Parts: sequence; C-alpha cells; structure tokens
Amino acid sequence: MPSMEIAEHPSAPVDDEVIETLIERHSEHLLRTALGLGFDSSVAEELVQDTFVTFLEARQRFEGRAKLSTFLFGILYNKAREMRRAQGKEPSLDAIEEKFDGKFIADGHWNPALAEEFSEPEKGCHVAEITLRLTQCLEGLPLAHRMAFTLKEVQGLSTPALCEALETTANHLGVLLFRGRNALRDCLKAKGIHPG
Amino acid sequence: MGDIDCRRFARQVATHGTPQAEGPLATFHYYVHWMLCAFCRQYWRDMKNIGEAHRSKITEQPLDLPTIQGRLRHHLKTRFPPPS
Repeated sequence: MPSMEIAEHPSAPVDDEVIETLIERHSEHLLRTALGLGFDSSVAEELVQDTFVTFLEARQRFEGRAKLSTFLFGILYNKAREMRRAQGKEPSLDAIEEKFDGKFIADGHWNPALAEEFSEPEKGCHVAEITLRLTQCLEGLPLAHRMAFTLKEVQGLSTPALCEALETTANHLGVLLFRGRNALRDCLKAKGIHPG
Repeated sequence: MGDIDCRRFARQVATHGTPQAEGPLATFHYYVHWMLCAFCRQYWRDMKNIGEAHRSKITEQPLDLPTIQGRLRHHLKTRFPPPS
C-alpha cells in the first residue's frame, strides 16, 4: 500500500503490507537520523520502533498535509526528546549570540585581532578529520539544534518540512541552525580543527 | 564589499546556508561579498565542510539493515497481528 493510502484509510486495519511499506520506505532514514542525534545503534533502533508503533496507533492524526516522512521525523523527534528528558539537563547555547557578535567590529567586518578564527588554507582539515571530532562537539548541542542540523544536512529537508517536523516557525528554525552551526564551528576550533 | 557586511553575510550562511530568496539584488550582493571577502569565504567553507562531515559520517555508517529491519518487522507484526 503506498504511503499516502495509509492516510486515506486511517481506520483500516494494520496489515502486513502497511508494515512492510513503512519499514522499506522509512526505516533507514529514520535510523540514520536517530544516529545523527548521537544515539547509539541499539537506542536508535528502539526509537525507530517506537516511532512506527506511535504512528500506527494514531495514524488518524496524519492528515496527509505533509509528506509521511516529515510526519515520522516529527514523531521521532518527540520520542528522542522524551528520552533526553529522562537522561537529565540539556546543554545551553545562550552565549552563542554574544560570542558571534564579538567576532565583528563596529562596521560589521571581522575583527582582525581574532586571528585564530581563520586558518591559512594549507592548515585546513579534511572532512575525515572534522568527522572524528564532530561527534564530541555534537554532544554539546541541545537536541533541538542537533535535530534541525541533522534533518537539514543529512536528510536535506526544506524549511517548510523542517518547521513541520520540529513544530516550530521559520524564524525559530533559523535560530536553531545559526546557534547550532556556530557552536559546532567554535567547538572544532577549540579542539584545534580548522574546518575550512 | 557589496551592499552587505561580514556580520550579515556570516549570519546568512549560518542560518540559511545559501542566500535566502530575498530577490535577485540581495542574492547578487551576497555573491559579490563572497567573491570579495576571503574571511567570509573561509567562514562559508567552514560551515560547508561541517555539514558535509556530518552528512558523510551518518550516510556512510555501515548498518546491518536487513537484520534491523527484520527485528522491526517482527516487533510490529507481533504488536499489530493481522485481523482475524
């Protein structure tokens, strides 16, 4: 049964075809998104399983206005939030805006005194070197920022789809991506990695 | 350097990655600034490489998908048995 037909018949019983369709079309990108959030493979699988169960139990709520994949990402995000909440306090990125503004002088140009902001081209790192340190730096991001960054960079979701999945506005999404990206860049530079 | 300063350029890159659809003139000024400012080009490269590193790490991570999907299938079919 094509994904959209699941929505057209929300009261129809869940049969093997519905389950197969869900798993074949959506399990891999949900799994990779959960891994992108920093969960290990067993927890990522558990999150995907919970996502599918939640969808099948409440698929009447899927009205077909968005793509099914977007709706499933939204469920995954909520499941991940519940899990993170149980694990304790999240890091904060409130200081990022002030730190960012501090990198510029009054006329809006980069502050030339901050030489460490910019490496010489030959000191730039390869993507593989960045990847090694990125996992550590991602742990310093709150879940919302990690989810926005992962869905944008890994899954290539558009702004409207991201807003739908994260249940947020375009403005707030912009804040999440701005703070998340700058936090990652600052973290990598603090570890001696020049990503550019 | 174009009708956009480094702070605004950097904020645009970190927020949207590419010029927002603010119209052809705004897009033109963005690209002029990108061409003229080496620091902003580096910042843009930093963000591009960070995104690429995350993407390649996640998409290239080996997964035993058939086994995982088998477990998912088993769980869902147990949880939602076919109607009798």
